[in-house]
Amino acid sequence: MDQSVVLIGLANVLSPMNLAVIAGGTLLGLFVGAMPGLSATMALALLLPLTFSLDPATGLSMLASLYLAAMYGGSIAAILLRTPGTPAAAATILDGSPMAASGRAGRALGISLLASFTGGLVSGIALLTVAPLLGRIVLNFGPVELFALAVLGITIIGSLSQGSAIRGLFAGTIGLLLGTVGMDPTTGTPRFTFDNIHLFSGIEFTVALIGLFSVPQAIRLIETSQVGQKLASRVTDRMLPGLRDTLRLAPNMLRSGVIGVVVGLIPGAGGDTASWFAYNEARRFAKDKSRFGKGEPAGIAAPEAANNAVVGGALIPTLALGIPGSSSAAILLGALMVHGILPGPTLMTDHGDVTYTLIWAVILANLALLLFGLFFTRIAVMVTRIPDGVLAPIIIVFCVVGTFAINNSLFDVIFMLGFGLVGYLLDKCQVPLAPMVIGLILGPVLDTSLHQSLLIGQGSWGIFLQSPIATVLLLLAAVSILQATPLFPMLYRRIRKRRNGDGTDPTQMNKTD
Amino acid sequence: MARYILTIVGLGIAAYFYFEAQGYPTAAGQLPALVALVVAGLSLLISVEAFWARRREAAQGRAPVTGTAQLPNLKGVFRATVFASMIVAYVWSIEQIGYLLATPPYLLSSFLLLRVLRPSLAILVTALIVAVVYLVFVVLLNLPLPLLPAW
Repeated sequence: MDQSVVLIGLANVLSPMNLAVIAGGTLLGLFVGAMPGLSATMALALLLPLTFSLDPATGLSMLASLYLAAMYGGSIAAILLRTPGTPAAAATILDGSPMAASGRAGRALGISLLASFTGGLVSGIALLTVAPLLGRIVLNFGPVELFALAVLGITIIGSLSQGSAIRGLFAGTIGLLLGTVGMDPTTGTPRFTFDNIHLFSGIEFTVALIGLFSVPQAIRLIETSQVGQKLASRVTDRMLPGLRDTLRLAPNMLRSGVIGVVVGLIPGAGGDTASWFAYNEARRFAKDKSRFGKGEPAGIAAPEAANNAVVGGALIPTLALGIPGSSSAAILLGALMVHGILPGPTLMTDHGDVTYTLIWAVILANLALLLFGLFFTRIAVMVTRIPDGVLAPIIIVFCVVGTFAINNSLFDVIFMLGFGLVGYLLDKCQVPLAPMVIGLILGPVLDTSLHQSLLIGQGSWGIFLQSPIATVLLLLAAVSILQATPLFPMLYRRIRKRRNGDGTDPTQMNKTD
Repeated sequence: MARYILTIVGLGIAAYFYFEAQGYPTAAGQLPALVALVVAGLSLLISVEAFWARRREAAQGRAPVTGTAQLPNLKGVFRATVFASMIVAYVWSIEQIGYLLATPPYLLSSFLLLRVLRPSLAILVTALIVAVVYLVFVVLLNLPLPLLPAW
C-alpha cells in the first residue's frame, strides 16, 4: 500500500470543507433514512447532481456519509413505527418494536446507533486494508480478464438479486444492451441512436439511475399512502447504553460487522440479506433464544451492525474492481465517473488521492454518525410523521431539477421520466432494477474489453480460455447462473439424501426464515 | 399475464437490437447481437418460469399467486395512475412555461387532489419547496434552469 496516498486521503478528509460536508451528509442521511419509503439509494441518486459542482473528494465524502447515516436512520422508523425506513432495517423491527412498545424506545435506538457505528467502523477498516490488496492483484488484469470479470459481475448481480434469478439476469442483460447505445468505442459507428444527437454519447447512466430509483419509489408512495398521521412510539428514556450493555453486545456487533462486510463483498447481496443473516446468527449464538422477537437488545444490534458494515463491504469490489457491490455503491461509482475518474483497476493508483479520501470519509462518517445520532435522533423522529403523499411530489421536483443539472438538458429529464415509468412497470412485474443499472455501467466495459480481447486473440474466442484467471472467473460466472436453476437444489437434495441414507429430505426440515 | 407480456416486450427489444446490429461493422455489432440473443432466451424463460409456477400451484390446490389472480389495490392503482399522469404533464409543462410557472401548479394539485394537506398548508409547502430549489440550484449552483416561458 502506498503510504503517501493513504496520508493524502486522510489529510483531504480532514479539511474543513470535507468535514462540513460529512456533517451535512450524515444529518441528511439520518433524516432520509428515518422516512419510511425513502431508500438510501434514492437519496444518493437525488443528491448526486448536487455534488457535480464540488471537488470529487468532497462530493464523494458527502455521498458516503449520507449512505452510512441512512442505514442507521432506517432503524428509527423500524423501532418507532414498526415500518422499516430502509429495506435493510426490516429485521430490526422484530426486537426493536417490542422494546419501543414497552417504553424502552430510547434504549433500542441507542443500541441501534452503537451497533451501526461498530459495523460501519469494522467495514471502514476492511475497506482500508482489503481494497488496496485486491486492487494490486487486479492491476495485473488485461482486457481478457476484465471481460471475464465484467461477465462474472453481471451474472452474480443478476442471479443473486431478490426474487427470480431469471428476472434478475433479464434486467442485467437489458442494462448491458442499453449500455451499447451510442458511438461504438472502436469504430465510431453510432448504434441504436435513432439518429438522435442526444444519444450519440450513449445513455447517461446517472439519468437512468435517478429515473429508475426515484420515480418508481415516488409513485409507490402515492399508491400505498394512507390519509392520516402515522403513529410513532415516544422516546422517553435515555439513549446511550451503559458500559455493561455495551460490553455484553460487543462480540455480537463485531461478528455481525464481519458478516456485513462479507455479504457486502458479494455483488447483488445487499443490506437486507446481511441483516437477516446476522440476526439468525445472533439467535444461534444466544444462550436464551426464546427472548428473540420480544425485545432482545441483541436482536437490534446484529442487523444494525450488519447493514452498516455492508456499506464498506460493497465498496471493496466497487473501488478495487470497478464492479459495484450494490445499487448505492453504483451511485458512488457514478459520482467518480461524473468527475472523469473511470472505475477499474487503476482507481487505487491513478486516482489514489480521491479513492483514499472516500475510504477515510467512510471511517470518519461513523464518528459523525455516533455524534449526530445521539443529538438528532429525537428530532429525526419528527420526520417519520411526514405523510408519504407530501414526500412523493417533492421527490419528483428534485428528480427533474437534479436530472437537468447533469447536462443542462431537458431531453435528459424526459429520458429520466421514461426510465422512471418503465422502472415502475418492471417493478410491478417483480423485475429487480439494480441489475439493470449495473448492466448499464458494465456494458461499455464489456464492449471495449471484448473487442480488445478478440484483437489479441486474432478473432478467436479461445483467448478467454487461455488465461487461467479469465477461465476461473468465467467458470464462477457459469456456476453463479447454474446455482439459480433448479439443477443445484436437485443435486443438493440427492447428495444429502444419499448421505443420510434415510430418504428424508433435510431441506424440508428446520426452515427458520 | 404480466410475465407473458414481459416476454413479448423482451423478445421485441432483443429482435430490434439483434437485427439492427447486423447492419453494423463486426466490431460494433458483435456484443449487442450476442447480448440480444441472451435477452431473447431469458425472455422465453420468464414465461416458462411463470407457466411452471402456475402449474405447481394448481397441482398443490392453491390459488395462483402470479398473473391476474392477485387482487390489485384498485384505489392505489388509480392514485398511482393519476400521479404518473401529473408527472408527465409537469415535465411537459416545464419545457413550455418554465420551472417557476410549472412547479407551483404541479405541487399544489398533487397535494390537493391526493388530499394529503389542507389548502393553506399546501400553499405554504409549495412556496417553500419552489424557493428552496430556486435558491440551491439556480442561485447557489448557477443552474441554467428554464425559469419562465421562452416566448
